[in-house]
Amino acid sequence: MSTDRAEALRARLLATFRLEAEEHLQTIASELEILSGGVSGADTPEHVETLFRVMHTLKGASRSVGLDAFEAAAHRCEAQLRALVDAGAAPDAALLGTIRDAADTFAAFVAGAANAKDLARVGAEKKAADGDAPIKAHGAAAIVPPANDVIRVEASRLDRLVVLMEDLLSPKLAVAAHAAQAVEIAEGIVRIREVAKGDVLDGLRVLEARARRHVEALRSDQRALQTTIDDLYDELLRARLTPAQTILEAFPAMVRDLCRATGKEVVWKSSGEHLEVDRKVLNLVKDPLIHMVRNAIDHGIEPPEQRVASGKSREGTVSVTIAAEDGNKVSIEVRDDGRGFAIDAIRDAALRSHLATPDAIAGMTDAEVTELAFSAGVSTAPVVTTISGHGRGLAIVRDSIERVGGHVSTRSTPGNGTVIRLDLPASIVTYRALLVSAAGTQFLFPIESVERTFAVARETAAAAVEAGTLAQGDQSLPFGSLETALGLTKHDGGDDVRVELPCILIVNGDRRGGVLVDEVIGEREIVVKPLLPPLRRVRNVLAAGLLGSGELVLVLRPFDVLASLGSHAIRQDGDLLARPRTPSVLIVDDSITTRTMERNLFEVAGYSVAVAVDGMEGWEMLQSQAFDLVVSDIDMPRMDGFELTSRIRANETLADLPVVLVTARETHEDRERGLRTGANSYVLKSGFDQTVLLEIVRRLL
Amino acid sequence: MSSRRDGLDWKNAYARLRAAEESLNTIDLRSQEEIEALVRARTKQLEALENAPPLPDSVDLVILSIAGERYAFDVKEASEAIAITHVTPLPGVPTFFRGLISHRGSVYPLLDIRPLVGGALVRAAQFSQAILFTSGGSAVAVGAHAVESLERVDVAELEAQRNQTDLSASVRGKTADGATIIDMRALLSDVRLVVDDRVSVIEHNVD
Repeated sequence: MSTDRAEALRARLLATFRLEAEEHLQTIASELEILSGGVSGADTPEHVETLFRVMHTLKGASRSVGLDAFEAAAHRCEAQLRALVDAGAAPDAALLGTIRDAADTFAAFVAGAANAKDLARVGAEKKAADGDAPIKAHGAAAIVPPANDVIRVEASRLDRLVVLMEDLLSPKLAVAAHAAQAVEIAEGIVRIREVAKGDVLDGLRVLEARARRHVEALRSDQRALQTTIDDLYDELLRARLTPAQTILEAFPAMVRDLCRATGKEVVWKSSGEHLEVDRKVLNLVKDPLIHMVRNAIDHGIEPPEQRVASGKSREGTVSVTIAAEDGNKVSIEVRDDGRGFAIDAIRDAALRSHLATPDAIAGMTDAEVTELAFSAGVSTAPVVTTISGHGRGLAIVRDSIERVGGHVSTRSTPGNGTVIRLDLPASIVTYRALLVSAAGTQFLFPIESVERTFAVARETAAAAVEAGTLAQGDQSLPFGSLETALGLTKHDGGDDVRVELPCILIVNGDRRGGVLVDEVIGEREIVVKPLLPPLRRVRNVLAAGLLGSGELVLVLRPFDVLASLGSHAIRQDGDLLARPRTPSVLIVDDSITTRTMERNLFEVAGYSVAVAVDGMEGWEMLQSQAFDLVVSDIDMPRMDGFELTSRIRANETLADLPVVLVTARETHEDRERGLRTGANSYVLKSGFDQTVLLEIVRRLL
Repeated sequence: MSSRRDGLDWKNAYARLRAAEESLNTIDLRSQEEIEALVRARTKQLEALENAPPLPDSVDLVILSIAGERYAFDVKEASEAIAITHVTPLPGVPTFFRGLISHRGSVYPLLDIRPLVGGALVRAAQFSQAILFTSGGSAVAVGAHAVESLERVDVAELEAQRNQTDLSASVRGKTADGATIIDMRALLSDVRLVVDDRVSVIEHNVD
């Protein structure tokens, strides 16, 4: 690349960085405002996490354009925020001030009003500030704002336009219905006119003529409205299409800098730059892509000498391929020919982060261990560097992709490299979905998750639901009814005498399963509406989808539905149409505060609740009443939770009763003892989270 | 007293005149700069008074009824009151979530607030109206059978109730005719509202 071209590219990258940094700084400002304004304790971690993520992204973006001083400053801020995220703590005024000062300096730098020297003072903790070595200001000249030769529309404004546009979809369909009703009225007048006489006849003729003119006018308006709204909507969505190049052009410089920093030698390749993709999708994958490429270089590609020693070329290869897929989908593959995922290191990291028990981790296949790399807190890096090592990146990647109905899959071969593939809908505003009904309610499955629909004989379906599996050729598929998977009340099918029942085969990555539904209604184009907090993630539900009729229907999450198929199959009692009843929970605790809190928690969640003040009273109640689950403290007078659990397990009638111990005893020995006595779950009060307790109970029932 | 009975209290009148004369002499001793500084300071004080937000001595409430019980919300916290045309059931969430509704392109969970503010979740007819609330990225619709009226209450009275009675965190007090006043910011911060299925239970689950 000639010097002129390189300079031109760098200028363009800096201009892009400036725009991106402004967006991130706006987010930082609004999060700081929320945190400074006394956000509630429950919401604080979420806002701190957002600050952390944005600072992380800002750091990556600055690195991409070689702004070392900026990157170092962002890294210092990120490290302080990360400590808060890990501790689940709230920022104090000093830290908020540090981040606010940092954001001000970043903004000044981006506007050309600050330099690398200013950045060197950013984000340093007070004690360390004086001893910091000056940071080399390589490539950190202040950015000169670009000439104002483009009109920039805020993404949020474009999104708002789309939302307003969607509001017109219902009136558009309503006008069609009104026109049809007008035709019916006109036809009614004609029928009456045919039998009318005299003055009435004359009056009806006038009325008929007026009705016909009205119908014509309505039809004309309907056509105009439909065409205009459809075109406007298409254009609006098209306005969000952006060439993939916009996110790929920053990578060569970033890869070059990463190589310099790590001593690696890498050939960068990319394809699919000219593919136009919804900018929302591109925005969504930009940070995950940066993270994956950094990971590939930092963790994947071996040092040159090591590669040569193992018979590889001195230079490693990292590539990103963006491709259009069938079904309005886009795939993005990040591929490297490095050492592959370090399976043993991931196992160790998973153990360190207590992601699963040692036995569970030891029993996992390599593929399952690879999946663990996408869990929060798992980092195989021995040292946290500015490039990677926080152990959150891949978790963020998966979370971001799955939020929009996408899927992440990984293939890694020790010694030969890794391929991480993201499958995404090309547009996350609208996509096609299969509309089905179950228990009298309509639901949508993303069309890419539906392999096919098929029919099964009623008796076969009942037997398959009971068994939890369905024989398909030489395969045995997990199988269940949708209403059971979703925990719905059975809809009265009335006089349903169908010999065969409709099913769909859904897929998610390598998982497949059959789902019995009441009806397969057909494929639909839907407008996707994300669920907002407090609905952060609802089991089985990906989003809400707006049908053309304006009706809101739930879009189901195939991953969860497939997971639910198995668990429900185990619990089927041979009664396909069993009506769910209210589960009953016995709470045993000597603290009235804990009892009241837990009673309230479970009652609000829809459980029937009884309480006992100690283990002895709990044991007596268990002799006379039937419960579905026991939640018990350990330290109680007369009979403690260990004894109560032991008695339950030793009792022939109660042996299978799930027991959850909620305790302040945090030692490993206590936990082991609790589990040895037969508790199904051991929850620490110190890390007590109502959502976790409800989730555990829900899974046990 | 004798001089007052005689008519004018000359003694006191002379005293006031002397004080006034001394006061005038003091001002005259100030320099022009000091006088200008004093005027500027007083001007700033007046400006600050004029620009200060009015004291929130009252709050306007919107009153709604749910199955015969009456609840009130600060109108400033509400975005909109709407009629409900369709509710989409939402399985797998606590029962006080009555489903989802859509309005102007956004989706809101429809809440039955009664169990969250100390009431009982008694089965009730479908909600016909809702008040929409958005705050800090959260969006909820509070379901109602009727949105009744607007009412103004004294803040001081609410504060007194707050101090004297044992109210739950989301309840600010009662209106004169018994409507429960809800603190929507507190309610939106209630951990029971949060539905988050991402929690890992591997550590806890010993199955």
